[in-house]
Amino acid sequence: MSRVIGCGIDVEELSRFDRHTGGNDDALLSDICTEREISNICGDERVCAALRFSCKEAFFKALGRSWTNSSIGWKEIELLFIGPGLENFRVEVHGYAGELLSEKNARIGETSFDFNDEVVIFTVILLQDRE
Amino acid sequence: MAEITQEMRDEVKETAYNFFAEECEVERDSLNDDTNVIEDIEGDSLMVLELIETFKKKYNLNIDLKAIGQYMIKHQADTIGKMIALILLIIEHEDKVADLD
Repeated sequence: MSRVIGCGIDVEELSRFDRHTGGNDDALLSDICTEREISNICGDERVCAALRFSCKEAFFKALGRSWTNSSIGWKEIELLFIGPGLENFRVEVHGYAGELLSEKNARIGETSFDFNDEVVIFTVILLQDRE
Repeated sequence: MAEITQEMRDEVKETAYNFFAEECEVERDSLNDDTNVIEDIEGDSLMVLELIETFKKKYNLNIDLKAIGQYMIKHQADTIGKMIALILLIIEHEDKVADLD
């Protein structure tokens, strides 16, 4: 048995990632994404970037934290696509973010996303296993 | 560790004000140091990251966002004035900003 201990939902406008993709300045993405994420582009680069940002924000929200009030690093949450498309993916949590989950005896129970031409939405649900 | 000059202070302030006015689509003159970035002008974390990146690039700063987050646990930067003060500290101390009281 498990119970929900956190739910984070984040929505991002795709157009806001124009300036960070497509050969434009990618410094921000380098600061928030790991090397693995940066080399793991599937499909539309802009959608990938927005989904990664949204995933990390949703995780922060599920924990009831933000990057400005915790020691969680952006790169401690990784969104990795498996295969050529966006259909299959996994979210990996490392470092302090992983320690926080362990302390709460929690795990990522569900992650999902959707997008259209304008926005991406990412949801993270944290579950706590009961004894 | 960079020495902060009055010219740098003025430039950071001007850049930050213009940035928030443009990104939040509000009049520059409607902003002041007490303007709350999220509550008053609907700013968000992506905007804050972009503003920090602007100065990282301009001053070639070596700083991890995690260090900034650690500083902000102790010192909230919720207004434009506090954001400007934070940026000046980042320029001055770079990664060591996390160790400041």
